[in-house]
Amino acid sequence: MIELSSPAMPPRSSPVPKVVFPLAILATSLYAVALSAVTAAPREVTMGLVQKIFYFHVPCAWLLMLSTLVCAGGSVAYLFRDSEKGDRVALAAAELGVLFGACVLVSGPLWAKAAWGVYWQWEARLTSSLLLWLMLVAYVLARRYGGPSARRLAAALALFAAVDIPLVYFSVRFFRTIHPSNKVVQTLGPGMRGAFWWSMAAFSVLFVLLLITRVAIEKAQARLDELQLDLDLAEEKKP
Amino acid sequence: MNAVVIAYGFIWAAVFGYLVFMGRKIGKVNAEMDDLHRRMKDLKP
Repeated sequence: MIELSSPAMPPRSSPVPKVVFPLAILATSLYAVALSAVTAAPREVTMGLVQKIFYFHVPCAWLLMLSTLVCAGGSVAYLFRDSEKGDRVALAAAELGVLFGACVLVSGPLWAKAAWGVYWQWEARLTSSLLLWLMLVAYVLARRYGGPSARRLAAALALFAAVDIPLVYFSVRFFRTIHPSNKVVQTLGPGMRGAFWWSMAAFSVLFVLLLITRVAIEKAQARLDELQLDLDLAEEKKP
Repeated sequence: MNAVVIAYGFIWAAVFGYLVFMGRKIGKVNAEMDDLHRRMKDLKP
C-alpha cells in the first residue's frame, strides 16, 4: 500500500539511464568513422560495389547471434532464479534479435542476388538463420500477446533458439553450402579490414545502447504498474 | 549500386523504426507517471 509520504513515489525523471547519452555519442562517432572507412575501402575485384553490403551484413549477423545468447541467458535467470531483471533483459534482447535478424535477412539476399544470381537458396546457413529469426519472432509474439502465463513458455523457447546458434555458425563448415566461410574476414585486405572492424564496433555499441535503454523502459513500466495497483487499492479505501 | 543503397537504407530505417518504438514507450511511461503523480496528489487529505 502506498503511503503518501513514503519514498515509493517515483521521481519525475526520464526512465532512460544517464549512461545512454555518452553511449549514443560514442555510437554516432563510431558510425561516422565506419561509414567513411566503408566509403574509402577498395572495391572487391569480382563483386564490385555490392560487396560493401558485407560491412553491415556481418555485424548484423553477429548481433543476431549475440541477442539470442543474451536472451537465453536472461531466460535461464528467469526460469531457474525467478529473476525479473533476467526476464526484462531477455525480452529486450529478443526484440533486438528480431531487429538485427531482419537486417541480415534483407541485406543477405540483396547481396546474394548480385553474387549468386538468386535471392535465396535453401542451404544450411540461410535456412538455420531464418529459423533462428523465426524463433525470436515467436518469442516476441508470445510475450506481446500471450499474457503473463506465456513468460515461462517464451523463456523455454529462448533456450531452444540458443541451440540453433552453433548450427548457424558452424553450418558453413559441416554442410556443403555456397555461403562464404567464417574465415572470410581473415582474407580481407588492409583497407577492407579496418572498415569491417569499425562497423563491428559501431553496431556492438549500438546494441549495448539499445539493450540498456529497452531494459530501463521495461523496468520503469513494471514499477509503474506496481504503483498503480497500490494506488487503485488506496483510492478504494479512501472514505 | 541499387542493392547497396536498399540494404543500407533498410538497416538504417529498421534501427530508426526501433528508436521511434522506444521513444513512444518512453512517452507512455512518462504519461503514466504524470497520471500517477496527479492521482497521488488527489489522494492527499
